[in-house]
Amino acid sequence: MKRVFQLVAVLSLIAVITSTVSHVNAQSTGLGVNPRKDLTVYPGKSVSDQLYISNLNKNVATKVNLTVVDFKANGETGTPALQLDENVPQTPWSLKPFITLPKTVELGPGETKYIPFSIRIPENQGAGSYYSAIKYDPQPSEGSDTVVISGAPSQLLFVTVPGKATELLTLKKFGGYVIKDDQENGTFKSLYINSQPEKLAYLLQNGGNVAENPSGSIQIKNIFGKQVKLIKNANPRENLALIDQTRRFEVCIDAEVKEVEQDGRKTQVEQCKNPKFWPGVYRAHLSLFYGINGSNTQEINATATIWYLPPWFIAIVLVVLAMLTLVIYKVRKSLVGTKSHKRRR
Amino acid sequence: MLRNMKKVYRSVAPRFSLVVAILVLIGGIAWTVVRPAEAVRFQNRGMYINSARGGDTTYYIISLQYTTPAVVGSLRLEFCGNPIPYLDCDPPAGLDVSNGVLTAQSGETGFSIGQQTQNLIVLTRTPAMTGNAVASYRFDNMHNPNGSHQDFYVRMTSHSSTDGTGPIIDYGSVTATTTPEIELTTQVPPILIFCVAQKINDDDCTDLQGHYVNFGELSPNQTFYTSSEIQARTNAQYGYSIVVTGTTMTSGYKVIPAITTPTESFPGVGQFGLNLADNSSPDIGADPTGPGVNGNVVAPYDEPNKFLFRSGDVVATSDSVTRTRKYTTSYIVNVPVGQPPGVYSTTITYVCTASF
Repeated sequence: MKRVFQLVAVLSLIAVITSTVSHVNAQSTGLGVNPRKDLTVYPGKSVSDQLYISNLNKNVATKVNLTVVDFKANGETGTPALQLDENVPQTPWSLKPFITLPKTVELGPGETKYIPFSIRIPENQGAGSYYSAIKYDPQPSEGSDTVVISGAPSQLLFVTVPGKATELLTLKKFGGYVIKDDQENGTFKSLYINSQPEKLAYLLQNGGNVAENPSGSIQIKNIFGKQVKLIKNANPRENLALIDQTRRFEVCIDAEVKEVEQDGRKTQVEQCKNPKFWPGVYRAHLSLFYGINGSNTQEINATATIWYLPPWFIAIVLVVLAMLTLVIYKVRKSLVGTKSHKRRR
Repeated sequence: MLRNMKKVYRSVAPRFSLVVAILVLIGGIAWTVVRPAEAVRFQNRGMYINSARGGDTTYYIISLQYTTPAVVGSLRLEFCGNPIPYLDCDPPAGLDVSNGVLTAQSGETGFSIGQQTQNLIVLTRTPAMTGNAVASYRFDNMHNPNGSHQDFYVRMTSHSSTDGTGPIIDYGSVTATTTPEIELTTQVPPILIFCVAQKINDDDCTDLQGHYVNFGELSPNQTFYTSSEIQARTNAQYGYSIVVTGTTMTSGYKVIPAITTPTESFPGVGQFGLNLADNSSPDIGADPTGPGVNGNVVAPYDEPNKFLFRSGDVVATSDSVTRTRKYTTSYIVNVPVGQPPGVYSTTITYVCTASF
């Protein structure tokens, strides 16, 4: 009997140890969120709204931490640089002082929730842009001898406070732009030999306190001053230049929607297409406008020159020049020859 | 014949050159003196909308500073979907200023509404010389365009005539945008779908397997490696970026150092790193898959057989609406002889954020 009890005790202990060491409920969850919100809040007012979040896992509940995280620009692109380190100072445009939202939210399997939040702008708060990101962090289990992995989608939240703000965009560069496939950055270019110019870009440095979304058009004229292309929207994706950022805006001279096939599926992607320019010199005229509600409208105008000289055109020009040179030489020679004959006579 | 041609040229050329020079001089003087003055832009121009919500009826205050001292009899205000004078004026849907009322004016005053249509107001007055004060005009009962985030513009021109026609003295545009105070949640919103797991078995992030990856028992004689998967898609026009955050593998104060520049895997050297490429040494990982072909791995995490780990680095981006894209992360760890024993672990979080 004593041995039976001992056996039962050992087996129970083994069961307990096994259940402690094994990884139970090792499941991940995917989340769906709004990627971005843009709000307008007047000084002295508050706005209440909702955040969308969805637990995509239909079998497992999850608990999600909500954290307000400041962000800056990341170079010339639209990729945000989240300030995830807790010791980083708050940005001057942070929404942290103004936003109220819950710290955690629990979602059942497959559940979607609309989480209330509010933003209150003090009466004496200056006009301008205030923005932060909301990070949705599912709480993963811990492990040992492991790399625990988790995915945290984040939402950008932009608030505009109308009024007289400091708005200052400075054009740093404008012209043809070439970018290699799968690369983030390219180079400005004014002379095209082996390919047609397909893309224009401009760099705007933001020295104000508003995240600017400039709008405008680009007119392209040939050497005779005739319009050959009109880009009606110089900022088709409504990209932003954040505060303190030098942002690059790119636009196709001519765009087409292309169907790309990958892994057996077809995807529609907008791509720049060949504008079919004749060889020669072209001038692109950029007209941009920006300004928030209640502020002065600012305007930027610039011109860029683009040369398109394909090899065949250069060859023709050289041949024509050579023939002209030959003709001039022949004429001159015959004139000189006539004079000599006259002297001899 | 050539001789005769040369004779004629020598006699005619000097007189011809003189005539051409005189004509050019006269033309130049005439162009300088007679040509009309070019129109210049209004300065300090702006617009305030009291309620910027789409479809609201509210008041606008348009302000501007006349640049050219001139006799002005009318100010033409045309509401369009773009600010460029040489483009057609397409007013945004829902905009209606036909019932607008001029309720206040300052600076250059004496105006009343002379003409009015759905997208046009012409202010008229007895022609008078302008000063340099900033003028402002308040219009009540103005109906905003219907949409949210709808840009619209007022193209302004001043004229000496009283009906907004004839030569332009000053010109310029002001910009405005309808913005909601709150976003409507009854509409289908833009959405960002994101998940991370050891294995992702479908395109919708609903079938996920494992939230950790395990290297097993480490030794200095070989490289230990494993992988996990990331999946993202968005219908937002700005695309997304994915950032890797966390620390290297630690066991209390004991550390396996992170690789900070792209480096090959060297057994026997303390290394922890990752990439999102299809590697051959070790044989782990895969290139991105899925129809979201505008989602790509960012250098240097796209380089096969080179690994690194820097918290805060962007590892993948897309630049617009992007269908499902799956990325495979390969992790390697090497330990030197004499690595202190312990249970080494870390938490790696991938943060996916919309671009702007």
